[in-house]
Amino acid sequence: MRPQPHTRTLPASSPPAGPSAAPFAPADPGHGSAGPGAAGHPVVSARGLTMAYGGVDVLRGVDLELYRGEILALLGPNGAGKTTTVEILEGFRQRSGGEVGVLGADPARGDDTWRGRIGLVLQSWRDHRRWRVAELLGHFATYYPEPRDPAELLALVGLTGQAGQQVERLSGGQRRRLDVALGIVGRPELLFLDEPTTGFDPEARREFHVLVERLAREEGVTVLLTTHDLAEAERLADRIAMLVGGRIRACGTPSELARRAAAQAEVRWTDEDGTPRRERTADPSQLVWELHRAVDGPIPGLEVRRPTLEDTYLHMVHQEDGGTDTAANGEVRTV
Amino acid sequence: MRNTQASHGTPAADGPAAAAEADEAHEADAVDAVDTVSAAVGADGAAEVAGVAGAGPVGGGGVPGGAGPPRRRVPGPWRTGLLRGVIELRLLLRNPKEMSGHLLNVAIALPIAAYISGKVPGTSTPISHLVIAGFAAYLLFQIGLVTLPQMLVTEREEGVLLRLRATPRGIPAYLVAKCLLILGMALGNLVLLIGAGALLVDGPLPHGPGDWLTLLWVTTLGLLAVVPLGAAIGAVLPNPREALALIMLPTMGLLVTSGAVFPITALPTAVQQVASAFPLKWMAQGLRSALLPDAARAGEPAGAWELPMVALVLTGWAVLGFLLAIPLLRRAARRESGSRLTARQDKAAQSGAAAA
Repeated sequence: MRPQPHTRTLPASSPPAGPSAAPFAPADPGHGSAGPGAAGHPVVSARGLTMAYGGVDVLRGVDLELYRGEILALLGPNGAGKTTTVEILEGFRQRSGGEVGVLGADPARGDDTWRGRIGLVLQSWRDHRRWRVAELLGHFATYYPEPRDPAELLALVGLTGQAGQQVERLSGGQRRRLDVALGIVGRPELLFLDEPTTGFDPEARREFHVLVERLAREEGVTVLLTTHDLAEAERLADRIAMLVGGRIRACGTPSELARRAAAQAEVRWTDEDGTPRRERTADPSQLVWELHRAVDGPIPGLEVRRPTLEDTYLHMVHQEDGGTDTAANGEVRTV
Repeated sequence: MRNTQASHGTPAADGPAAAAEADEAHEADAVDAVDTVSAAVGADGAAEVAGVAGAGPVGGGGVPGGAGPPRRRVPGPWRTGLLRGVIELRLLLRNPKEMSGHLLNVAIALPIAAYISGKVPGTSTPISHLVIAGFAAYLLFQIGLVTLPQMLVTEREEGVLLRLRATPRGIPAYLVAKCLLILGMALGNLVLLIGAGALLVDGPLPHGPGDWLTLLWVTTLGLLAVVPLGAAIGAVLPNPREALALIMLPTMGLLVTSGAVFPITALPTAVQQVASAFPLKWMAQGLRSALLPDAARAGEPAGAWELPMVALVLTGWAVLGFLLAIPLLRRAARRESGSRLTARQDKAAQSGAAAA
């Protein structure tokens, strides 16, 4: 099922709460109206995208589409080609083959106007350390034709108190929030987020999620998120794409993915002897019904656990690698 | 406003059209774009809020400042670059560590000039004047070939280059800013050294407009000879830690052999000939011709200032530098990406020398 982003756009009469709502009005009204066919043109599309480094196929035909206002999380074990895919879409890498369109242009030939419509939040930026926070954001606003107001943006990411501080004195989470502000100061239509909340405390993470959701819902910003944090993907993303072995193995909502992966629900209960029991099944309702009939009454300790995104993810990665990729699994478990 | 496309349809239709429009109009209307930006980011934040507050997610008129269709023009790199350069200069002035590095040069040169006595052989010019002129040349040389490459390598490693690559017209603006910064550093250093020299240790000053003119063109051409070259070096050096070692040794060697701080005639001919291939000797010679009395040319190896040769050699290095710098800088910028940045930083962290 293709998501219909326009149906999720908040009506004008229900503005978000809070004084910082103003910067989230659209920069680009032309895109806001649900013109005919608008949803038919993906903001990002890749077909048969391939990439080979020195004879090794990193990407073996990636097909991916993102629509306006959609948040898509790209998941996959390390080495699956996530970074390569994203960097090709960002226009930072040449591809070996396939068709790629980002905001109506080939990213390999994107010009400055195109570049100005894209925002980037990477995890490894340590730049401009001696600049002051407000100075840096204010400066980067001048590169864009319709920048957000830097002061409002600082308030939005909760850095007003640090405006006069040197960037190198910020904490890790503050630094990342500044990166987010820098990523959206030019009112991008498409935002790339690379492991955006690594090192965030839970509260900062939640604030960040709210911010990203507002960008997508209220402004129609399209977001491509790469993360190892499955809970984050589930919380934020409209759709999740799983990149395993250089291909998109599955793409859809978390429940669609679970169906496709045929991940099984877990049913737990306590039997007559008081022994805890658990069983995995694709049809928990059937199992519970059978239990009820067998016990002929209430079942003590009954619990039905739907497959989590983590179950689905691990299942898919295992399927792909024949269960041998324990390193990747271990890493995911520790997230 | 006048420089805009009326509205945007689908991304597919919009992208190329907007791009073509921006490209064709960019040069001519750079100032216009600049004006629009300053309106948007200026103190007029209230207007922006007003402009957008009434607009719902699907409404019209998200333009800061009010009426008109949205603007799409990306500002040109000149204004952003100059603004960036001014900020970088201000940061330099605010940074005691970096400032002391610059002051140190002067602090070394002046005592040497004060203590050293005697005349340049065959002339009545005090040797301290030769030392100050030589240090002036060396300062320019150092800014171009040590400070600049180090700055480029460090900023590449920190992700400044990537950030600007991800920003429209960011790399050109970066280069504009660096030119301004280098110019500011060079002038600051020269004024400080020559000014403090004249005031404190009776150092040399140009005599008459001709000398000032020579000072101006030798400085300009000298910077042109070393700055692009330094940019090219900065584009290829692996990381800040190795960069310093790789650059400092040849630089110090040239400082000694180029006759910058003591008369070159004291050196073996072979050494003189090697040094003559590099710009420092000619920068120093050109500055001596500007700062020392005309009679002092008797102390030069050729018995003359050889200004045409100064111009020729420096121009040659400038041309070479530009030929190297343009493709190398382009390559360096093109290679920047998030994963490469991470890889470099991981490597730096492993070697235990991560930037503090």
